[in-house]
Amino acid sequence: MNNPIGIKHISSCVADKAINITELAHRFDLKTSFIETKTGFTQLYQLSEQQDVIDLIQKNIEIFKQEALNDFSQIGLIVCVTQNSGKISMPHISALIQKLICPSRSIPTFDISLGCSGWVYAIEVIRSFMESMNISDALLITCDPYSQIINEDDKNTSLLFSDGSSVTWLSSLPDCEWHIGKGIYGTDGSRYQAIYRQKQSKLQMNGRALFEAVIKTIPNVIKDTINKNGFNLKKIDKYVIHQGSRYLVDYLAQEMDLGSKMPFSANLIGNTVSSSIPSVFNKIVHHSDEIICVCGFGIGFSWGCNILTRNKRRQK
Amino acid sequence: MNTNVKIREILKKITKNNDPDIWEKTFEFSPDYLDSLDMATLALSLEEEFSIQIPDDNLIDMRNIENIENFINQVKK
Repeated sequence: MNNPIGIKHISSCVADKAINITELAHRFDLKTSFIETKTGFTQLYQLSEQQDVIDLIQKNIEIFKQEALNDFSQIGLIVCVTQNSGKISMPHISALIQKLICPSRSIPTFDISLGCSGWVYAIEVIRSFMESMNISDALLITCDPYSQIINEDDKNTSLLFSDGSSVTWLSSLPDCEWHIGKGIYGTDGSRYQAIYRQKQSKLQMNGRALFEAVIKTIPNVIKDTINKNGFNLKKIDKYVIHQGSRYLVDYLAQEMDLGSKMPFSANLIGNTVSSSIPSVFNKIVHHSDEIICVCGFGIGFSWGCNILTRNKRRQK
Repeated sequence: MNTNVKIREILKKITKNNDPDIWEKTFEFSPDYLDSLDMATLALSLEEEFSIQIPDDNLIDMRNIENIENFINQVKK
């Protein structure tokens, strides 16, 4: 395998049941302007009563088939990032995805248990696995429907989280769209109670603690990742960071003096956890953008950051 | 710059509000002036500016400039 492993295509979708801003404002006795300016999410999605996690993934795979690849015979690895795999909690959900995609062929599959940092982590893990096992193509799937674990009367979480999915195709083909750089990954377990869930109970989030963890950690993580890849802040065309809320993204952009290079773009999607970055990637990144910083952070408190550079060979 | 002026500078940056009422020492912050996210930002900014720690319980009690000033003066003694 002579070509470096890169990202060939990113596809995403949301669950079937939509909840709009008016409904949310009414439920929590809030002004719609508060939701628009603070969380920024004017539309959220949940699994419908008939829909399970694997159904949402299947919906996304059908979209991916139409957009990028109809024949999965070249796929040699499936990895799923999730901490909520639905009605079937065992085995790992990537085994069920293998059954959907290539039922008559054995390939390696495994899940990664991470939240909002998961997509960035998984790219690094998959690249290493593909290189060591000489695998040419892999699918990274994210799907973590928090609607199954949040208390719908809890304003802290119900206004933010949304059910979505993503499918990312990693490949050693020479026409990959994005080259993957050198990442930085970390955890501050002392802050785990900022967002966590005890068995048999609902998700708990301390907004202040999470906000503090992000503001005190992420700007330096981003700067260090950029330096590690031999760039500076100005050289980066776009920053696609975890879309936790409009307030958080705007605050980071202001603190780092990045303005519109670090946009909030999930207003009609919601915070889809590990699907957050892939869900907005194609909205934020334009054809003229060549160097992209991706940064995921959240439950753990965990973070992952990397640089994607456009494959110029593909453009020629 | 004294404590009171620093607090006002921080509040001005967070609220972006020019209503003169908010700068009265005993004006009670309603959620229209400072919502929960603004309060988290306020806590972080005060902690950095004055090198202090503000527990959640104390933050809940900070409902006007006078409260904030009293808390800071107390912990800085």
